[in-house]
Amino acid sequence: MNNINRKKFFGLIGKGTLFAAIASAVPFKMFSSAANASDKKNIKIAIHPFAVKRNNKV
Amino acid sequence: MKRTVLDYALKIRLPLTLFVIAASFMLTFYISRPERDGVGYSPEQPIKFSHKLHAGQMAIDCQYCHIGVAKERYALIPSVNICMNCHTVARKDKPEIIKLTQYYEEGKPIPWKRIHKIPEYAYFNHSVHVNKQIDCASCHGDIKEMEIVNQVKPFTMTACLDCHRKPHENLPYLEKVNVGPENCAACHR
Amino acid sequence: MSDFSKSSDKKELWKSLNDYNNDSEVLKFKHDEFLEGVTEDFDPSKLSGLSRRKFLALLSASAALTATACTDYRDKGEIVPYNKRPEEVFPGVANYYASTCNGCREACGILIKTREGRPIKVDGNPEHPINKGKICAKGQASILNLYDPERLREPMAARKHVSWKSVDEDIISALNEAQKNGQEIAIVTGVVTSPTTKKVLDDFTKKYPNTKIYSYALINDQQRRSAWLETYGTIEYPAVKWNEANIILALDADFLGNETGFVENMRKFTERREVVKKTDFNRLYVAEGRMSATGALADYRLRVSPAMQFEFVMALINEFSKRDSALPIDADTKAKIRRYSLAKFYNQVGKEKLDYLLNDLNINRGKSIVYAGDTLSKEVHAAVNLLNELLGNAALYDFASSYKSLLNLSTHKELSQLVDKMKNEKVGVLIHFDSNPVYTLPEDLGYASALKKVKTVVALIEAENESSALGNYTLPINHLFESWGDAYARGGVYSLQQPVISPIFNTRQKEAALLTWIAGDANAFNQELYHNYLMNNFNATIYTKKNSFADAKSFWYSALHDGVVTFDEKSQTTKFNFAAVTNLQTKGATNGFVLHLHNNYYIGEEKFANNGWLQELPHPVSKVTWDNYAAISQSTAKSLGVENDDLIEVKVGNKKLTLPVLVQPGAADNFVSIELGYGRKVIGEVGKEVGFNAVLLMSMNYDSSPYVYSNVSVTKAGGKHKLASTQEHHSLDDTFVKDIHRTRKIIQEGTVERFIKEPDFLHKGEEEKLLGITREHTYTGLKWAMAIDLNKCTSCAACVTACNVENNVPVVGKDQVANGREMQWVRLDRYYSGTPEEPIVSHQPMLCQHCDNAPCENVCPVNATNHSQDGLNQMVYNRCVGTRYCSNNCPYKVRRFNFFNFRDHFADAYYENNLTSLVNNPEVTVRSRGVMEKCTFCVQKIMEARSNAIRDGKELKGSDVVTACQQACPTTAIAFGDSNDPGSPVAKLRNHDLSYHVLEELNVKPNVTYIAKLRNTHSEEIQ
Repeated sequence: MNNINRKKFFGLIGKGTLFAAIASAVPFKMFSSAANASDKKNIKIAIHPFAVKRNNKV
Repeated sequence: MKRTVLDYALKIRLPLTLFVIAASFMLTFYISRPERDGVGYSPEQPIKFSHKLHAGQMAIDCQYCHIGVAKERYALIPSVNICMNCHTVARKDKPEIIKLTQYYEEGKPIPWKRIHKIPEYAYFNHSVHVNKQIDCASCHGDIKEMEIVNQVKPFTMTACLDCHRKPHENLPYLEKVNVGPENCAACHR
Repeated sequence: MSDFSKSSDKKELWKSLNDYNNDSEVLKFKHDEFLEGVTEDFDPSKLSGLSRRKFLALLSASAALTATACTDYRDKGEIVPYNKRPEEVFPGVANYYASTCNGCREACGILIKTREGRPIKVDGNPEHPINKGKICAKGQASILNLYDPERLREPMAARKHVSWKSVDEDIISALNEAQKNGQEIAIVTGVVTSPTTKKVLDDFTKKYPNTKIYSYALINDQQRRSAWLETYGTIEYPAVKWNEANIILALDADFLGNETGFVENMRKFTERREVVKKTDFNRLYVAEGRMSATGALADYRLRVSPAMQFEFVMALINEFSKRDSALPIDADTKAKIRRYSLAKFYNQVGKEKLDYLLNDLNINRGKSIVYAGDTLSKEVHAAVNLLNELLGNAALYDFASSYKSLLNLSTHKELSQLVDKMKNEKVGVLIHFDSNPVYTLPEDLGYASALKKVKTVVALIEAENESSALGNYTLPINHLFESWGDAYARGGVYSLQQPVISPIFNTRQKEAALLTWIAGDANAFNQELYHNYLMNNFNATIYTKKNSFADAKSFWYSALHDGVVTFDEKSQTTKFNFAAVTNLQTKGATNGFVLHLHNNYYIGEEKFANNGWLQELPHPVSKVTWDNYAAISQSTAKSLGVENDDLIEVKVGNKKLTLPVLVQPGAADNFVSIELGYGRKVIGEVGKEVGFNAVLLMSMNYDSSPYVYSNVSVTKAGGKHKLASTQEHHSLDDTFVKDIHRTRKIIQEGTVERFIKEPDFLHKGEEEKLLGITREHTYTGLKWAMAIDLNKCTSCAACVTACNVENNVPVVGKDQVANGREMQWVRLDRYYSGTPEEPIVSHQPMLCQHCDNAPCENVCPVNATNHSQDGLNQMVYNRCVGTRYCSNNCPYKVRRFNFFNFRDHFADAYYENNLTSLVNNPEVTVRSRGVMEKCTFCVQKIMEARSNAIRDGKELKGSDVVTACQQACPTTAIAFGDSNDPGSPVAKLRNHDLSYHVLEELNVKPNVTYIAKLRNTHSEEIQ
């Protein structure tokens, strides 16, 4: 008897939305982490070869 | 007697819920333990470096390669030129050494797989531990017997605090050792 | 449907002949859907155990499990060491390099701290004799300019990326062509403090003889230099020995705030505001129209508008000549100055104050100084020189450390001639040599429109600005940290600049670009071109002058190591030229308003407008961020009918500007002051359209000074512009909060006279010890505490900026500051007391007090904040859930909450890119949204010092740790150390007679002690 009434119908939709919202957190986090930042060109940092540093005891 | 809803709830639902919660907690706790504390993690490294040979058989001191361990926060994995101190000559025809030399000549750093790591919100300082005469093996296990390094001790905060609070039990070879810092800012800043 | 089963004889559709004939077989089929025996083979027990449903369930479960197993969840990433570790880099240990700042023309020595090759902090160079290890807020924040995401990265021609080679070839041919056609080659630069840069410019002029160098700066000291030239015959004016002055009269001179030499001035000035060593206090009189940072520190403040300063000084000279006939003024001059009378000033300033001033200056002849500000006219400076000469104050001039001038600033005539030549197409090539004349030059010069007539316009700059936007070639230059250079700004001091990082982008040293064009060949360039040139010049000039035992190479390396070379400089003997002052006069102030344009405090002339840290620093007096405004007095505001944030229109001649009002207590009446440097149109996202461009009000035809204009009309314009201020606007008119800082003893002050009479006046009559309801902790061993001497704090905000840089404090932007959500861990509170016309201004740096009985620790539901055994209030970010109960409880409101993820609030957030994130200090956590943060007493420095002490086998002492704010403070107002060590400076300050704690009665037992400010007035009560 698939005569679903309005309350049950919207209840089902609500539960589904809630589930989708919570479940989507996992792939969402995977895809939007800072490590996935699109600008893949890394900045090259190199110490200047002729810089004269202060001596520090290590 | 007619069963009321409350009766049903208390006699059946409540114990069942509690049981499910307890069971899932215990299950995930024990199953996730290796992930949480990292014990037994032994990944494959890009070059089959054997600590058993270098640190054990040849008795090279830990600090020859891990140069930062007594000076600063980080222990430092040795850069390729430290390996080449010997391996420009020693066993240079063996396949792993050929791999190593290739890295050196191409100027590429070796991407070692990291084994011992604590979360980045905790700031661990190697030199204070080493300078208090704590032996490397107390935390890293008997590296001298490991072909491939694996983690033997859990690196959870509980494990660290345990040793901080009871240093005499955990480090029996030290004659005088103070209790380690227990305040948050010692590690969390 | 029922139709078909009704009658089998009335058939309409049939499938076969048998069907038509109603065959019995067909009828049997129709009756039974399933024939007999069809289901006999169906045996449930023989079916596969796997139902369809179960199969699907298993399929999805295994897919999910596989997904989790796809990554090894124990994977901790990789650890990648160097291939060949450079010898000077020890990953994890910071390296320090000496260099010289180029934020302004002072050329302070700096030490750049780098980690793994990245500069992360800048502090002063302790070896530099002028700034002695201290720099200003701009220097501290200059590091963000290196990592500015909108820095130019590639050379551009006509808005398109090109190669350096093609640009060089184009420009060399353009230069040759201009030379051949007899056209001028103009180089427009700012103030040149580098002797080697000057040499490059001279070499350029030798190679292309049609070259003319023009030097112009928006904020300059040209008036002072012209006056010195006329009165003493030299443009290199001396430094002032502030520490030997008993009385200081500053005329619209913000010498402690943002004018020439203020970092050194602060240090020297506060040598005479000591309460520990009990030296005698100096007394500061400030006569000014606006409320400047120096005015806020004055013992006596006189409201004199800058248009009246000349009359004021002449009246003082007149007064002295009347009282003392022995003064060396000739009769002619005496007659001319007779018309200047002090009586005019009695009403607005008050006779009593003037009498004190005259008396003090008279008694302290030869031990006092009258000092005029950079923005005042040449005539005022000449008059002030005369006054100082008459009072014998020339003894306080330090000519050995004079302010050098390597390249004279261009006069108006020269600049007008340049524009004329440009308009008539007589200029072939124009090079903007790290300058922005389209923005800084007054509009009526017509520079911007004349630029269009120049064939080749080249800009050598770090970031796009108004001038480069109108040019053909935009060439990116190295940031300071990537540059070689030197500086000779003060007598006897030669400082060097060295790069600590290889150029990150395809930029070049600006002098190297010129050297390439001098060589006439694009292939002449190499990365070490200017390095070698500098070294050769150094050897030829400094090395030979020093006559050292060492060989040239070693001397060069040791000079780079120290960052500075000092040498004896013959100080010239000068004599005052009385003839120059006989006919001094200026146009007096007329009706209408007086407009005063002056330097801003934190964003400089044009370098730092895109620097978020600096834009967010609150103004030292008004505490306004991200804006400039028109500051007017309360009575003027009433007469105009405006309040704070209302827009007014300021009109000078035919130039006008609409900008918001700030009612400034203490400002002169009928007077408007506006800061220069704002309202930039061509700049990065951070600085674009911030504030209002007051350069539009400047004119080439000024009366006395390009910064002071009379006959200005000010009208209400209608509309509002919200100013984001971090401090209450209503401290003087809202009766509820009026003087609350005094009644609640947040600010406790006294006068020098009272302190001398009864040293314990502050603590006299105090009630008994406060009782606590909990068992008190005892702290044996090291206990960290801080003491701030309010006598020395000038509110320069170097501490705030240093803390921001050291602790990765984010920039939040104007709208969040308006909501009170600025993230600075230490703030400078400013309190007014007295009347709106004559306010008394008190400053107080406020930071986490690390209370022993901290009210924030008790209420954290997750125990994210607690106390350590060495007295620190700890904050554990990973435990914090963002309840904000701790901030609610904090009586000092020093806890800052991350309402947004300020690093990447949106995916394309400004500071979230792989360049700017390099500025972060790796020893301090970068906080995310929802976490509370606050001052930690630089716990990362404490732990590092502790680690070094253990490594060296020593005990950790309080003096081993220097917090970022303590290191940055130019007046050493901040002391930090072990309060359980009775010999430490902190312990001594805690037990000082003038020490007090803020809100002591709450019994939170704060560990930051304040030393009460003493005002050096002629009374025992603060008026």
